[in-house]
Amino acid sequence: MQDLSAAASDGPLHDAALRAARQPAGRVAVVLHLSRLPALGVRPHHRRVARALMQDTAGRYDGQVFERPSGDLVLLCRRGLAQAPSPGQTGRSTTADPLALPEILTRLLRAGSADPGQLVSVWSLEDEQELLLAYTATRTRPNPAPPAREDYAGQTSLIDVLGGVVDQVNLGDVLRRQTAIVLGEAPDTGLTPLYRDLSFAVPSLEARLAEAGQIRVDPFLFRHLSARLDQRVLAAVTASLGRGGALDASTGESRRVPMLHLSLTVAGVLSPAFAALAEACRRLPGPVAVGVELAVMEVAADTQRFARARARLAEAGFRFVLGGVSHLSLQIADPAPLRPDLMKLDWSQRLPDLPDGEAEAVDTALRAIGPQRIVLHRADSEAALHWGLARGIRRFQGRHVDMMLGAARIVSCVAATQCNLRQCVERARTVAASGRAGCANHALLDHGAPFTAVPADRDAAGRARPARSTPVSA
Amino acid sequence: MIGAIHRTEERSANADQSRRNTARMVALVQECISSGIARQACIVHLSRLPPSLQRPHHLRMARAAIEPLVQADRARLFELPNHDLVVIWRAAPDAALAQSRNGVIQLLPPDEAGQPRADLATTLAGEAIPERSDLWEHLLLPQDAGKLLILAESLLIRPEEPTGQAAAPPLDPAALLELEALLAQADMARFARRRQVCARMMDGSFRLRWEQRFLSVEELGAILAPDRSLTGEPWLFRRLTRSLDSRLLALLAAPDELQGAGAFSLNLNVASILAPDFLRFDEALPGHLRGQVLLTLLPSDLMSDPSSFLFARDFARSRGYRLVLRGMSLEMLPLFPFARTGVDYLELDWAPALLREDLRRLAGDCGRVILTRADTPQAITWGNVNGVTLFQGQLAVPSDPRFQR
Repeated sequence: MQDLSAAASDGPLHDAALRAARQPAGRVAVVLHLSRLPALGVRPHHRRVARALMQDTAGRYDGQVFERPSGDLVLLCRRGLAQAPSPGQTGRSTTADPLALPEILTRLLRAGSADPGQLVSVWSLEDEQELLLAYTATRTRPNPAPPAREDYAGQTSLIDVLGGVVDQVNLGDVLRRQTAIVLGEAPDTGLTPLYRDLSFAVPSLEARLAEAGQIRVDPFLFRHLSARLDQRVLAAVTASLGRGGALDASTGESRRVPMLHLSLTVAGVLSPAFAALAEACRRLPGPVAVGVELAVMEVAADTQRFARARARLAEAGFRFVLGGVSHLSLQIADPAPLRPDLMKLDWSQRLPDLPDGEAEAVDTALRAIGPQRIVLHRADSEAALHWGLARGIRRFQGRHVDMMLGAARIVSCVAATQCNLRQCVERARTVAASGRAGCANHALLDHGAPFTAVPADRDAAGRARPARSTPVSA
Repeated sequence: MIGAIHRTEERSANADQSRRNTARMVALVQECISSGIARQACIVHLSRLPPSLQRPHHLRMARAAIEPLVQADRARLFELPNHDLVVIWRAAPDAALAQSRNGVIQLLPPDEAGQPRADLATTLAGEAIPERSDLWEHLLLPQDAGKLLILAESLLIRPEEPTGQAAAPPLDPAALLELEALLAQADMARFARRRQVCARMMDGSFRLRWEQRFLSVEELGAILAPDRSLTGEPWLFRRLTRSLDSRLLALLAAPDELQGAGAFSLNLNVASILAPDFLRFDEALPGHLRGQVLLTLLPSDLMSDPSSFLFARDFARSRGYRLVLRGMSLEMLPLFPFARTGVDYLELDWAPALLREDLRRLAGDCGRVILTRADTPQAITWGNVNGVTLFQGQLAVPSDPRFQR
């Protein structure tokens, strides 16, 4: 296997194309236009596997694979029917036919492209050599996206520094808060805060890991790190009960502060720190409302432990929120049997353009859960809101929602004369007290939106209503 | 030290042989139930004898005593893990039955009149001597089949996890780093193990379909990290499995390693299928094994990176691999329907709670379910009733000795 890091220049490819064009009979070019994928959508294994498949075909059909500076892969080879490997022969399968490659490559990369059909070109050198020569003669710019560090072997230094990060990081620096909303059905009912979501800002965490590595690329290490950080978050939330501020889960005597949502691991929910929080909530005289988000990956890892965690949540009166669900997850699994109180579906720009079969799978899954239990998460654009509303989804969380809430606060806040929208949004996201400096209306900041009615998913005492007895609605 | 290791290995091999014997006995009993063909059986409960009467020469005497029955028409002898002997036969002269019974009873010490004791007594060492009826049991099949199945089930219950490993502290990042460094240098071949996945035939026998090839985490932990519980911290353990995948794939990609091998399955992480090690393994895979290798994945792995799973699934398919979802429990079945995951099989771990469930409702196509940890007749029977044909466990062993390893 050739070294992929040694990106070839276009010269050898163009020379080889010219040579092939002189004897075009029975020869084809297969081009995989990886440069047409969004820069961040190309992952190391895409290139590695595609290259291996093309290299295999090259070996069987007298061919050669080239990598252009843009990242495109080009195979020049004979066209013909594959020969089945003889018994005992090593190597890949009979699917190595060059004319079968486009279908395989397109299928592999379909999740990353709105139009996977444009990712592969097949040109017969007998009839379409001018297309190949025009393509190889075109200068391409190097792919600006640096290769992501995805190989776990490069993460050993990351393991080494994890312990230090867990113990020493200032929670206020790495925690972020985001308010989810319910959009009213009537135009004048506006938006109502649904909950305050507390989660780790992964870029902030990675900034503290410095050059050690990217925690995101190793989901197992990330879960381990999260489980350890849970202990500190739970302790901090317990200590903040009734004291006001971003980590206070009490909703206030006026019951105007929305529920606090924590992203935890199953291990975190089963830990003594969680029991301490639940006990502290029970003892607090005022109303408290807590929801706990568990990632679907955690649930699938051990359903028995999940069942115990869920029982603990129910016992504490906390809401269960299923997180980490994307449209791709819904193509693989059916989360409806988990009967979450809420399910956070991650918005993707691909959602409006999914092929019919995949779109139907997503819609079926959403209907099974029920739109009233779905929060469209990472709703960063108006398009996300439109897509959700078209499916009956009225609960949203994301940067676009942050802007909507910020604008509403600025308009209604009497102390906002010196504030701009960006400042208000940033202060609302920040957990650390220092990040709120300049805001003279912390009550409004904690509420998320101008004060209106009490959200209907809390009872008269301000506590979360039991998950099964009340639909989650505002 | 070496002698002790050999003795340990010998005991382990004998135990495996006894479990296989039990599995074959269960298969024969179940065949008897399903066909309704009458047979007879006797159980010689040697395990009920006091230790002073369980010496090697006593066992030889017992075997000699039942020899007339072993010689009977279509008779089969099974030695169970507790050293009890079971003979099952189709037809035998009454004289052979009586001769065998009398011979077995001679194992009991005689009373004052020189006759074997019929009542409860003790040996010189004060050990209780069983009654004759406790030592020798004669059964008519299929009506008494339940007694044999219950006996087999009690002998095949999995031993508890060693408490030392469970009590050890879990992996932490520093220990993981240390272990990964050790793995890089260790000879992994010594930890390579195989288990059989068998199809149950209409006559109740089993036929090998493929072998599960894996690295024994228990043994690896006992040798390379004896003071740690490798599975105590689930996510660091999962991270460790990435290293194990890499070593296993490298092992299998070695020249000639797979020459002559039959179909097999590998437990892998999704990310491992997309890693250079797998591409090298794929390149080295002999042509006769193309389409004969199954890759088994965990559900949480699918959920951790669905995009990678979809890519890996389609890539593996294009190379002729079949995919299996492993570690499935009752609760997980509705979450991962075949139609969505697109895998070929799923491995469902046997649990008594399954007895209350209808597998067809939960999983749909039961012919694509592999019932794993099927170590008891109850598990096999439940699988059979629910349309499962593929089994892995102590009872699922091929009847044909050519398929035993």
